[in-house]
Amino acid sequence: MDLKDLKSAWNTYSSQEVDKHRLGKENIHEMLKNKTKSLVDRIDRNIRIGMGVLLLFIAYVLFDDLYLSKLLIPDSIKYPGWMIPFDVFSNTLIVTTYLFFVIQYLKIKRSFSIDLQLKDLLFGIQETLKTYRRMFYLAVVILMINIIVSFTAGVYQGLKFKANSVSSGIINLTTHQILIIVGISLLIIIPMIVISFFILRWGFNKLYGRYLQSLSDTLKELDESQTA
Amino acid sequence: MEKEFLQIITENQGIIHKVCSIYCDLEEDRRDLFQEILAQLWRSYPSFRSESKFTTWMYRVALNTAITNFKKDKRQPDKTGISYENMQLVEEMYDTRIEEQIKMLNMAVVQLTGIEKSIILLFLEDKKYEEIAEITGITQNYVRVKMNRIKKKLKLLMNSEE
Repeated sequence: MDLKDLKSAWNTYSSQEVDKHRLGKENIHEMLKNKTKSLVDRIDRNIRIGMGVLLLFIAYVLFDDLYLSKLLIPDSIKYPGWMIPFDVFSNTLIVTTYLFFVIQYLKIKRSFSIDLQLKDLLFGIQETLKTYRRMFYLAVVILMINIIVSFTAGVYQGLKFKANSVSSGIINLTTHQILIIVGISLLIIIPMIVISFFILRWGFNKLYGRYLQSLSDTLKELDESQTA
Repeated sequence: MEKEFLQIITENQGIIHKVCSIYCDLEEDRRDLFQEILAQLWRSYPSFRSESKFTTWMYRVALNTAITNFKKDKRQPDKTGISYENMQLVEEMYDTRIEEQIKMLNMAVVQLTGIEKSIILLFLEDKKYEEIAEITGITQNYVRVKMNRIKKKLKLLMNSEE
């Protein structure tokens, strides 16, 4: 069978298929009313919800740092001065990373449309999926930074309070002791961060890994056109 | 705008049906893909400019949707072919020669990647290389290269069948 026969077979088959499935205007109108959500649409909605949740969380962290903790913690317990630069740095990092994420997302969205050239479309979907993954990482980073700061401050204050009550305030914590406190905190937190990243990566690959792979295979196939 | 859209889609719905039949093997998947393509066409219709023919634009949206379609279960769009259920129906209606040809076509389609399916569909629809390139966004040269590869695949398949 040559391509001519193939064409005639296709014509017979496809015209039969079109006739069999042909819809009236009303049916098409009905179908348009039923909203469908493609994977990219669903991810897009999830990113927007995620951005909203992260924004609320960041607002809470800042509110807690600047107002709530001052209101709730008695004057006798002072926030360690050496942690203030670390605190400012972590808050700045959280806010700038979040803004960078939002700007990147908007940039991708602005240029995304289904009637793009296939290569641009595939690239856009890939970037949307990667942005979605980055959002989870960002959430973990924000949460972990917050935990590190609070945990270290808490452990430091607890030990200092104990030292004060035992020695009536004569013994102060030395730099060496502070370093041990920070070290222990990091020893607990860092494995937590690493494990969280691996779990996230595994979960994401399980859900979308195969799809990402097929997108990248199709992109590779299109890239051959540059060399052809 | 909705009225105008409905009119033009009703007239050209064959394009969507053909794309669905080359990318889906099950009736349910086919319905889902049809609806998804329809939704994407409606969503991007305001951005359609008459720089290209409406059918060219429609083919592009339909094929882009089919190629990037995500299925949660075991099947990916690349690995599916012409509906077996539909093929059986067709078998009842046509002579054995056409039956054989359609079987061959189905077997060939299953072997093709998403992009190759789009090229063979447009080729079978008698589109010129220039238009195939415009719809798929790849160069005419590459369309030729791809067509040659598809032809080779088909030849191999036919030889193994004989």
